[in-house]
Amino acid sequence: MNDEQKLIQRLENHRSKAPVGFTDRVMDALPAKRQQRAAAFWPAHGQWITPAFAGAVAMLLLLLGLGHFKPAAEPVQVGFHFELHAPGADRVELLGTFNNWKTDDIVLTGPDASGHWTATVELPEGRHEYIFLVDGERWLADPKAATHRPDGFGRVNTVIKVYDDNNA
Amino acid sequence: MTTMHRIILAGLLLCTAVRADSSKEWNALREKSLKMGLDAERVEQALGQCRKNGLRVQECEALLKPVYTAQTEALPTECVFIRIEEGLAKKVDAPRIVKAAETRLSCLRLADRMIVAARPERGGEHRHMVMHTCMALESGLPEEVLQNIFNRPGGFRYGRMIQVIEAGETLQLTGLAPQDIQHVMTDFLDRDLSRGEVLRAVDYILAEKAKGRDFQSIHAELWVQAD
Repeated sequence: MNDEQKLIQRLENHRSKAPVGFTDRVMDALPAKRQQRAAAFWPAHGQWITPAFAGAVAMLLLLLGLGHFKPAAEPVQVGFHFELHAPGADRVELLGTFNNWKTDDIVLTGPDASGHWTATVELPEGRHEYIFLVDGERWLADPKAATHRPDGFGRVNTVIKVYDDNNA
Repeated sequence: MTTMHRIILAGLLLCTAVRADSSKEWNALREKSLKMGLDAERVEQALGQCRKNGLRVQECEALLKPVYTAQTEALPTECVFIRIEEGLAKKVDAPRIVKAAETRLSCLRLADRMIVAARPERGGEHRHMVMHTCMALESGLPEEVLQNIFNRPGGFRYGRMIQVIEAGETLQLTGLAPQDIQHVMTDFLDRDLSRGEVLRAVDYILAEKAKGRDFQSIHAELWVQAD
């Protein structure tokens, strides 16, 4: 008998027998089902390294992308006040490059006590041409404006440049 | 059925047939325009206005021909559309509108050529600049003035140049002499003025001119504060 076998023999001799009913008591004390262990937030055994690294790279790319991304600039709109003195008129319309010269589109309000017709229109920044149509038959350039231009059809358009003061 | 009834019925049937044919033609013109890649809203508006004005399909097609050409030549079609829309709104005769649209097309071609001669690549705001240059030309600003401005040494930036062309057009429309306009436009570029500064300078020139002052004295004072 070698040393190892002697040691095993000695350990077995040392072990005492369990009391009667011990096994049953232990089994009764155990829960009927094994409780599921809740999944840990962090994967165990270093499994977190790959997803975490991938996430960090994705975040970095996103931040870099955001730095270079410029949303398409909305054209700045500027409220422009139009006014025409036409005391005897029944209807005054405004047509221009800003509404593709549409009739029955922008109708001025009025006349007020002094015979003025007015409209405030949101215009995109830039150069615009327009004309007033009075009672569906008379075409009038804006007498208050400084710049006019022959329209090539025998009438005269008014030319304006509209810019937001904060944007100029 | 009396003879009269028969005549009325035949007339109604004929009208229905003609209407159906005409509707087919309008649809064909719409389809043709859309297939060319034109903006659907503009096409609808132009066709609607043509019909409202009582034009025949063939007349409306003749109106749209310069738009088709502009599209083929990669010129800004909206600039031709707007001319047609203006003519139709003002109830101008179709042949005159066609002529105006063709003039606009020629003007866009010239503007494009002038700009490309000075800056060969058609990048950034090239289309925008073509439109503004064309407007200035149509307002009477001489081609030579614009050419001299485009060909200044050092090249140009689209945005800044568009502001200066707009200013040149305004000065032209208020009756300033071409050599004076070129002088001021060159000043704006040399001084690299912002849009706000250009607008202020133009307003100043217009206000002083309205007082009856001559350009030399206005110009002598123009940059005093800035300098």
